[in-house]
Amino acid sequence: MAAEKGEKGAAAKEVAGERMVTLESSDGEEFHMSEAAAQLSTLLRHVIEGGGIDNGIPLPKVAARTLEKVIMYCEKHAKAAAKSDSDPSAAAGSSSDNTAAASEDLEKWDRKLVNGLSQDALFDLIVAADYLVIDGLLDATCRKVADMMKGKTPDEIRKIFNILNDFTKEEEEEMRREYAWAFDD
Amino acid sequence: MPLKVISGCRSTERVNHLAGSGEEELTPRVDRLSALSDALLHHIMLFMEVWEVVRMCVLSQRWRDLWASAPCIDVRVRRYSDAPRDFAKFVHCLLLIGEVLALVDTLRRRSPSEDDEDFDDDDVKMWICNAIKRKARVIQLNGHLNL
Repeated sequence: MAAEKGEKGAAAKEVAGERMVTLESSDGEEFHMSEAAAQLSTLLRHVIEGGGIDNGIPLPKVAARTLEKVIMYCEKHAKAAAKSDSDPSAAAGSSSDNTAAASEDLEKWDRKLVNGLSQDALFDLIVAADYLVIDGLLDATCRKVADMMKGKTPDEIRKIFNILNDFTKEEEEEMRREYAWAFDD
Repeated sequence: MPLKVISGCRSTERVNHLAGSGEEELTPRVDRLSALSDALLHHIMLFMEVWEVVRMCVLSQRWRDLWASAPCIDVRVRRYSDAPRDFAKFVHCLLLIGEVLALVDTLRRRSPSEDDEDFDDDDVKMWICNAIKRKARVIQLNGHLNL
């Protein structure tokens, strides 16, 4: 279970022995999250340590649908961290296979999470992970966008992301000359 | 990979590509990618090969100079990659181009392996000097530069 980290704000309630925090999405929905999971967000960690969150933590920049995913991610990773912390064989240093497998499972879980999102939801999650400062989630979502662009021509990338080509014909010619070294022309 | 020059998407053809499933809907969509902050776009670029990052300059005006302000330039080449054929020339141009203006924090270089016929110590010294002049933040040069 989550290690106690000393006195926290009065609003951290307990559910089944685990300290919980209440979050409110931009669209007014309430969510509960374990404090251990909330620690994965640098922003939330600072808010919790600061105290005075009697009525929960409002997140006007994060919609319910996105916050749900954020909490899923954080709870999953907090549980994984707690499990590896409490694993006696890990402490003995004898099960690098186990930790490697667990790490791989977690990566697979992350990929599954981001693969199941619409483009809109993916970008919402990127912005939320950035705002909440959740490094692992930001990496997983940004990596997904990078994967969507890999091996694609500029034309294909424009189509996927609805990017408008606002170069004039002359500018495109200039770009072609200037950046010929970057393309296999 | 040839440099393709095309016009932008017409609004009637815009599709909502789902990130993983490959399903499409004919829905007018906005370009949320370009709307991200420079910092977030640079973060996405961290997960791409350097030549892929540079090639994005042709996407639109927004992308034109974005690669040059990326805080990290990683010139490692993996075996299965589709790097530019003349990779030595690519790296030269990359590090000498005038627009590279990000800050130097770290400069790392692995010692060249036997395969490094295309580069010698003088080349690398020149890159490093130019990188410092250009104040690039991170340049990590690995030995695997032969294609």
